[in-house]
Amino acid sequence: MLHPLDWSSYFDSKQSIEVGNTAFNVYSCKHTNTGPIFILHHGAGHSGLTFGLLAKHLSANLPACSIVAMDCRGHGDTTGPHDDLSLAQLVNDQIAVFEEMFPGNARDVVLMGHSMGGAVAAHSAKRLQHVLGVALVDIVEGSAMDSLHAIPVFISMRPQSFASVEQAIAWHIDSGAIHSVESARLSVPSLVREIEPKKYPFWRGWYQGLSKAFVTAPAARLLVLAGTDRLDKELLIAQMQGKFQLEVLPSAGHTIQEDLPQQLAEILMAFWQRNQRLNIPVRRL
Amino acid sequence: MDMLEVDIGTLDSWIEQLFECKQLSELSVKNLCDKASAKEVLMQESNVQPVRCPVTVCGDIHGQFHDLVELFKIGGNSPDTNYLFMGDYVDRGYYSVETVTLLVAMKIRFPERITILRGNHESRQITQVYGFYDECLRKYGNAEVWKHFTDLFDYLPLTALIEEQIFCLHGGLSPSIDTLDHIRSLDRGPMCDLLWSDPDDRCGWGISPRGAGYTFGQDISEAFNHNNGLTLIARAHQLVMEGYNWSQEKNVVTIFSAPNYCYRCGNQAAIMEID
Repeated sequence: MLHPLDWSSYFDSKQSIEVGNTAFNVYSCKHTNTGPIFILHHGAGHSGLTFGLLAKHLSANLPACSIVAMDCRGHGDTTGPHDDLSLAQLVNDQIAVFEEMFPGNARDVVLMGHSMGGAVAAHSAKRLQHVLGVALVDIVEGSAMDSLHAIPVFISMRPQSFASVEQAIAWHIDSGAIHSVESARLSVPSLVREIEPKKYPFWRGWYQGLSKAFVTAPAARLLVLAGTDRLDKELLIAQMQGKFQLEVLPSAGHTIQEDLPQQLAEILMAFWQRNQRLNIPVRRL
Repeated sequence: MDMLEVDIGTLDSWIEQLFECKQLSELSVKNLCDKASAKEVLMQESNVQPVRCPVTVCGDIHGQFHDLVELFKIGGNSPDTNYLFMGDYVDRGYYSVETVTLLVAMKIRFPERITILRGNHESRQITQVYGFYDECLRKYGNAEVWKHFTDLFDYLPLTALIEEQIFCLHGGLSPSIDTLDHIRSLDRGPMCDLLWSDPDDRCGWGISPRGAGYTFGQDISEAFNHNNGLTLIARAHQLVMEGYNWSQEKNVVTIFSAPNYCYRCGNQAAIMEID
């Protein structure tokens, strides 16, 4: 059955964080005082629930970590004005919510963003303290810019309405948008309320300068791509100079965190573990 | 053709065909890898394969076949010129099949004249993501040729030593290796750090941003060169816009031999002639 799944099997809490006149809906896991904090930012049209399965795998394997996945402005259960979905606004929102939740934080922070959320993660890195790593999930500036013209067509081809939430879930699975039935049942119900066209004016601004922001982020850098290796020129040069870690998951669709949540959790944990301190192997003489 | 040795005439005709960028048949590739004693030739080589001067040292090629042909035009024909290739023959470019087949055929034909080391892309895992596997499927309709070559990659030596002075390898140094003798005693096969590490401006060992291997500072390369009686570490692995780059006060040189990498990076390529 394709009935919706509730957030509570995947996150420990769902809370409302007020910043100015906006009430941000934030899902989170395990507010311990040790371990890294993973801050996850969803892409355009998604919600924090896109990270539900990933969060479950992360907290099962790294019990000391904290995980934060908010619904960004104009998405999910976040309420308030949503005329301004510019990159600068989204970055300000993410930082404000983080500082509200972790005042005076001294723990390691790993920023991860999917698609548009990758831009928010890359640009937040310079503004937050203790950022150990930045991880981008299936977003490349060059290919995003190349495909901007096709997005309105893509959206117009999607059904304008569904008879039921179950039908919306079924459509996302059948169309290949989300490979995991469990994840679709969790994340799709929060998407059905979305009003897409408002975001058109902001798309270019989300992606312009992303490659540069990523390769100069003052932290370890990880790019996870679905399908094929398709770096733009700036990323290709940086990758061939050894400036970031690239992982390609051929069997995943665009929403990697939903299609291969366990694999992505393992990559993310190894990324954090590898970069937290240097263990030099014992020399053999 | 079902013989234990492939004769010189056959090898020469294969090399001639490959220079025209025409792939060998699947059976010929099988014979090249299995029957033309490729594995025996490579297995006899040391993990620190000694090389004599004069020799021309080359970096990454990455399936850019036409640039490889140009490299031979500039550097001189094989076997008149001796060559040392430091790995990364496949992936990303459109002609990985022709490139690696040609280099392996040349290695078997002129084993004393050409040395081919292993790069981090000479791996089953990496080639499934960055193009060589897909190219084999596209050009042969199955994965057999990919299998023949990736089996052969396990036999490639990891490093070479020119005239006891210049240490050549794909990536860089490893914190678990201090001496050339230690490398000589390693089992052939993946030795990750040697194929993945990069020199860095910071001293000491560092975490590599690549997610594999380490970064090493000038203090590390100086000590390694001093302790092993070397004058220079020559390596590839990193794209450098001029094609070559001296670093760490000439303890390390990087050579990259794929011009305009991936047909869009706008970099120059270089080869290094050692007289």
